[in-house]
Amino acid sequence: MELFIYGTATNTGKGFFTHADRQNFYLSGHPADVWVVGNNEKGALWLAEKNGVEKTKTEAQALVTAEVEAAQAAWDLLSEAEQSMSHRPTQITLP
Amino acid sequence: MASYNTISGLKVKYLSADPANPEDGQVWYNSGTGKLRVASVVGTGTWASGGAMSTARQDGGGFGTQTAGVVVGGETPARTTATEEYDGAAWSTGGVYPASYTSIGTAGTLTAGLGFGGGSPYGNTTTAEYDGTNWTAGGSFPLSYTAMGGAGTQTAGLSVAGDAYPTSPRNSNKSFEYNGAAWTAGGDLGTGRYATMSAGTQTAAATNGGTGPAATLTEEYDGSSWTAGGTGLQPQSFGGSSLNGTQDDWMTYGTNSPNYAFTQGYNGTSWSTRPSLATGRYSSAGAGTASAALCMGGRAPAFSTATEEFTAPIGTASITTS
Repeated sequence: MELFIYGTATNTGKGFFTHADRQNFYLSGHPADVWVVGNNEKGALWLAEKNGVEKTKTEAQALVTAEVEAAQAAWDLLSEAEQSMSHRPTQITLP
Repeated sequence: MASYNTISGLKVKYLSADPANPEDGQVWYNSGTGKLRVASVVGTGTWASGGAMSTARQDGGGFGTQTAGVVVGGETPARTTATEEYDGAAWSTGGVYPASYTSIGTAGTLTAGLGFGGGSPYGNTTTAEYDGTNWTAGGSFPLSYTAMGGAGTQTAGLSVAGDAYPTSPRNSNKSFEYNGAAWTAGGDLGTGRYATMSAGTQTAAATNGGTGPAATLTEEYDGSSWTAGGTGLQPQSFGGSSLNGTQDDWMTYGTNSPNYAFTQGYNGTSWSTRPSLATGRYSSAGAGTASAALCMGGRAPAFSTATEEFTAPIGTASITTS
């Protein structure tokens, strides 16, 4: 069985994920509204309740990579002074 | 031996029952049971989602508590004067900051807050005081700095290091103390830096990380001099901290580090890993304490409105003499 479920869902703020959720299953949020959820009953139920759209890991990674690359391109256009006051986004590899 | 009054600045309350939501370290006398009672953290805690900010931003200045938090300024990506206030569930609009700055140094509470310096993109000497509604001018900051660490209160504030660009050296090792009207020089840090994370008070503060060689280094302040503390677990800069924590109990998170979700906690001697943010980000703003913290906004890598609340479970016990 796969360790994780991959999907997209919009963070609606307070209550979107709770302290109990964090204790019940693995959960991590990533660029492009991608969420990686522990593959158990409670994790799957959480993604369904959030109207999540399930993705394959490859699809989810592609969404993340595209958003990071767009942010990197925007950072590269900053002046040298502004670059020194911020941080070039680094690529993110989903678990 | 120090008394509770001396340590906490409060008297022990005489209550008919245990309070509903005691805070870590709170002590009270329960007249119903005839017991002296104490609250303390009994677990590791977790991060949960909070209300979304109205304005996505990076490098905002955070201060206050988990249920009365503030974020001010930052980049949206344009630099902003916007202040937002958090009540533990939702954000509302606060007072307009005197100018559009990013990486403003901050300290204090929602009703007695302090902002100093900040970038546009280079540093400035602005100090502003917040009363929960309006920002008003305070005593001018001694140098044109941005990206300082902050600690303390509106009337006993502390500025830690900072970005002195275009003045050299850029990585400042200066600290400054505010008394509610004017800034005076404090002790020099051992290692210059900017974009450092800090917490504590004017006489018992700590700072960790920042630019250059300071990325893992911690220093502790006693009101006159800085000394080396425990080495951080990851190099980091540009992020949040539980600003209103204490020198020996605070956290850093949402930083520019190898793992954007990484959270670490300091006990006055060494750092340990704490539960990760759900949504990794850098250039976030922080507020609160090590048992009730806020992580606000940042880059993920899009400009983020996301708020996360860290809560450690609080238990109660009776104090005995055995």
